Amino acid sequence: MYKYVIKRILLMIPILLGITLIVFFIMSLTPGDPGRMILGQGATQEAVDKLNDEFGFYDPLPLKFGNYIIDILKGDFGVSYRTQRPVFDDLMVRLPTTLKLVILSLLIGTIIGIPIGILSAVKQYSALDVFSTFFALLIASIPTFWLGFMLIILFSLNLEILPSTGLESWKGYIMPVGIMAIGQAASLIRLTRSSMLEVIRQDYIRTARAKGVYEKIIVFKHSLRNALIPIVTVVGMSFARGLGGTLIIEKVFAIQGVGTFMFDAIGTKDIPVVMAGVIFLAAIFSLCNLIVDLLYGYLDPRIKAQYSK
Amino acid sequence: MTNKKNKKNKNKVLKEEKKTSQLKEIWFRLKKNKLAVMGLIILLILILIAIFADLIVDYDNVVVKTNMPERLQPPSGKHWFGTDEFGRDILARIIHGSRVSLSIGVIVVAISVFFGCLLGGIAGYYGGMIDNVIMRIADIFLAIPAILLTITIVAALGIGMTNLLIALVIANIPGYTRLVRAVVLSVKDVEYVEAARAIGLRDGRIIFKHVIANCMAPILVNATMSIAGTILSAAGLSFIGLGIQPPNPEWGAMLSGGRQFLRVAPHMVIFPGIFIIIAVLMINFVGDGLRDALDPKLKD
Repeated sequence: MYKYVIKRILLMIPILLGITLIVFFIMSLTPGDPGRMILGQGATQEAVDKLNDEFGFYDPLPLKFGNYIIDILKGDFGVSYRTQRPVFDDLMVRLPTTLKLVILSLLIGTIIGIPIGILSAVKQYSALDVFSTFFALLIASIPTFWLGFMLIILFSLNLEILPSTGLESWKGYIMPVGIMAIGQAASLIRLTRSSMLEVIRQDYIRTARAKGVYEKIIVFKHSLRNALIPIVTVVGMSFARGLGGTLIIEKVFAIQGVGTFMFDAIGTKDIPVVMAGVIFLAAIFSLCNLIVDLLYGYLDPRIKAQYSK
Repeated sequence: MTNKKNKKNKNKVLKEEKKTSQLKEIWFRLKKNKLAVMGLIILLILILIAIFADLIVDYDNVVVKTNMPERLQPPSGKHWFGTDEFGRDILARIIHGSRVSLSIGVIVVAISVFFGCLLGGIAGYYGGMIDNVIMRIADIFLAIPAILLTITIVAALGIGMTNLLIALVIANIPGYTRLVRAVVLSVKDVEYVEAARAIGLRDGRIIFKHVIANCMAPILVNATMSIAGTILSAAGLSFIGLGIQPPNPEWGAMLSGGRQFLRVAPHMVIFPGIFIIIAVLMINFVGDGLRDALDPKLKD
């Protein structure tokens, strides 16, 4: 089993390198140079050139990439063009906020979504099934930021019981986390339901039923265990959805997370910030995929058997 | 001679019968799904509105021209959905915005599916080295959450509609490549492909006409669903200011513009949002219906 774990962990290295390469390459297409960005339009060409030289702006692309990787390994993501502060430090201040939102909402979404998904599959075509699948599809069709606006109109502007911006008190978490949790629950309902249905149609379930196994045991032991493998993958994927979703939710509720940090940077062409944000979030996402894969190995005896020889 | 001709005709007739009956069967099963039919009808209406938008409202005089005396008016008989901060009629802007919002979804998905079929088809059909190269690159792209990839590309290329389209297409291609490769692998060694190879057809023809044509079902379902997803992403990106710029009407951009006026003019965000939801929900209904109609397991 440890062979599988090591193999998966080693595979992270080329993936992270690849992500960095792609982001680096895409960002190098940006017109403009750091010297001009920092010093502004009023600066002399000489001063701009000097600063660009310091940044290694005129180096060939491969050399620049190599230097960037070395810097990253030292924990140095460069300096923000706008504030002149180290990007890494600012990112670290904001990252916990974003992760808190993602993890909280994923947790709540999973607690709501998976049981409903299972029930919905077990009692296919029942009123609960019809209602929950419709609800899930409806929620999946609503832009999260629009839902955010509607709740702000209702709870902040009309009822005045929840704050419309920021996370200063626990009340501030209710709307952003709630909106994201509903979204997560909706997608988990759909996916849990369909993967349960797939399992329920299998021959071994029919066999179990034919030999008179209790329905409860069939659902929890025979079906759920087998359906769990795709569900774990799906929860992992939901993490990515959550990462994307929180970026937009942060903007709606003016929360100082990684998302608002990056969007402000895009507006001002603050490339080091955008790059660091994307690479960091993508790395977290890959780490999450790694954990899913390791869980997979644990949950699926077929994978375990492959590597235990 | 006549005998041969007859036989040929008979074959042709048989073939056509088979073709129409298969489509008919799918249509028959789709028709039974009431939600899918409703989705199709409403989508058709939306598409017609988008096509004839110019006949319904005058773009220059109503949609983009400012009319300050009538700014921020609530819904009324004259302005059904109210007016925005420049006094422009929201309904008129929604009608014209449907052109952009709906076509973004279709265009992005069509282009991504094409490249996905090309790359996935090549990877799956030839295998080996080229498969490895294409799929490892796709894996790395897939390791970046789509929204982040889109944001990165827009940030680099600059804000605007074309760049948004490019970004969404690039972010969509790897997923299709993987999907198409998987379905190609599942049919590439079946007999009719072998037969096509035996009679000496070119590879390109085999891949597109025989292999991919026979894996259209999962691709079609996926494409339908991702039109909905793309409309949502485009709206989200317009909302954070990376997409369509004012004064052009687009549903996501309209929402974004209405944000400062939540207190005084909530109708500015309510109505464009409802239209996004309707369009996306109807597409999802159709997608769900298509999936069930095309699923051979559910055939009875």
